[in-house]
Amino acid sequence: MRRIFRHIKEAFIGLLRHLAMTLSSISTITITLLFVGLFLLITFNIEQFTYAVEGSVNIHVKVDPSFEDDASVNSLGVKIRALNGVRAATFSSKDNELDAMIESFGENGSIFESYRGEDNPLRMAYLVEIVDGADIESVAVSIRELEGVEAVAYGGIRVVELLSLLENTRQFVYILVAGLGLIAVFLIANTIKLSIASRGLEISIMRTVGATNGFIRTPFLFEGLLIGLFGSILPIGLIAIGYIWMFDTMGGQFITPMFALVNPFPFIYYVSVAMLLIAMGVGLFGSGLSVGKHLRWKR
Amino acid sequence: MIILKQVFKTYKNGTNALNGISLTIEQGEFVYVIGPTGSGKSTIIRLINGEEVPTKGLVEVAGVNVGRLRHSKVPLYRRNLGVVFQDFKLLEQKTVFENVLFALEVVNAPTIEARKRARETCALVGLSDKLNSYPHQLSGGQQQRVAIARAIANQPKVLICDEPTGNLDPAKAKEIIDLLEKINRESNTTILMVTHAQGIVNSHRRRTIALSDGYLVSDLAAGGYKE
Repeated sequence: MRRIFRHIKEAFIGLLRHLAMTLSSISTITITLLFVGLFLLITFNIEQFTYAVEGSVNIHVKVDPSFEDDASVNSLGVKIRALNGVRAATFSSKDNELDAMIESFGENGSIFESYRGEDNPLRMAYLVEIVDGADIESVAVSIRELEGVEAVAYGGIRVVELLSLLENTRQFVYILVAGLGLIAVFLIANTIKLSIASRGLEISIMRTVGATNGFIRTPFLFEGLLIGLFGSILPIGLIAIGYIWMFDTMGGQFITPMFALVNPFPFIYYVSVAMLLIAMGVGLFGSGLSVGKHLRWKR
Repeated sequence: MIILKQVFKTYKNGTNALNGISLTIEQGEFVYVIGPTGSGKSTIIRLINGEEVPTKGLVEVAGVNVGRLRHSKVPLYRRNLGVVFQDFKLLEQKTVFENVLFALEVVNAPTIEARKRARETCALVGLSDKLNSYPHQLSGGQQQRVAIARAIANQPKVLICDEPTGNLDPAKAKEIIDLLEKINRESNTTILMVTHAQGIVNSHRRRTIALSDGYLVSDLAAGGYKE
């Protein structure tokens, strides 16, 4: 324990000795981590949106009136279910269709009640759920080609486009994070290199009197860890406060109720811990690179 | 204590630094190693402290075959040695006491014992009244005393002194040799001192080993510097 305190003390001294480099490394970590945080928020929310969308992107298949006998309808159902990309196909009778229509018109829907029974002009239908929202168009085309299908309709294409836009944003942030991460590692490695160079005499005395290589290296690794730790404080605060504020301001949804945002608690704790670990990991990796190169084991 | 048997050392650049050196130094001996620049003096020091391995032959210190020592064992082995340099190599931002304590801290000596030992060692080299001074506030002779205190703080079996008087005037140089003789006498520490200082070798006569072009050219128990 005494040894760890000594290493941490030495690490602080090292950081203060090159304050300018230390601050630039910390700033890079801060900026990188802001994007990491953003990336995590977008990723988890997209996942939640996708899950919600998957349940709501359906294809509405109207059955041709000349194929309304039981055998034809059942046969159509079997053919639809056999298509690639179809998760389920639920039969909807004319009455069900009318119910759905009445419901969709809300209070005014009752005027359609007069169509119930023999006069129902609506078609029998299949409600088709698909596996992946992105395949909706190709599945719809396949269904349209089946015998006994009068028309195919699907909503949610906009939703799929929106999801694809969010996915592209996520990939852009991902590339940004990777680039900034590399810069952060490079800057940290340089800070540690300066620290090692400025302690050349100390290191040579330590070697002369018989300090182990691990003992010599550890303070520099702690320096990297501390850079990561200090660099993570601001972005963790900003991301946590920002997300909670956004969640409250937007009423917990993104544009429509279908896109419910992930509840900030405990989500934001997980994101914060992940950001902290990533920052310290990057710090350790940067200092490890420098230590490996400039404090290579020699006799 | 120190045994060199038919030791050859050729560096990667092809320089033959040592050519079949054999010598034995007993525990408690005080030995000068003299010779012109490039004669192999520094190579002997580097072989003894484990920095280099012999190309051929045996280097044994305190029962340890230094040439065959595994990398990971070198630091522990070095705790048997103390090294004093011509340019003192003191940490400017640390006080006299802290400089000596540093050598004990980095080998994980328990704090209380380390502080006690650092104080005792400073007293031994006559620096009790300078514990809180910084190196730049000391004379060259005093700085070398700090370096000696740091080198003997771990109570090494062997003290290697690489031109310890090279930066000092004759009076201060004599004080340092007197101090080294005291350490040698009182703690029976083996001392190997590399020097160019003819006056010292002649005035404080001890066993003197002379090297030239990597060969051992004389080994005089009576000492003295022969041109």
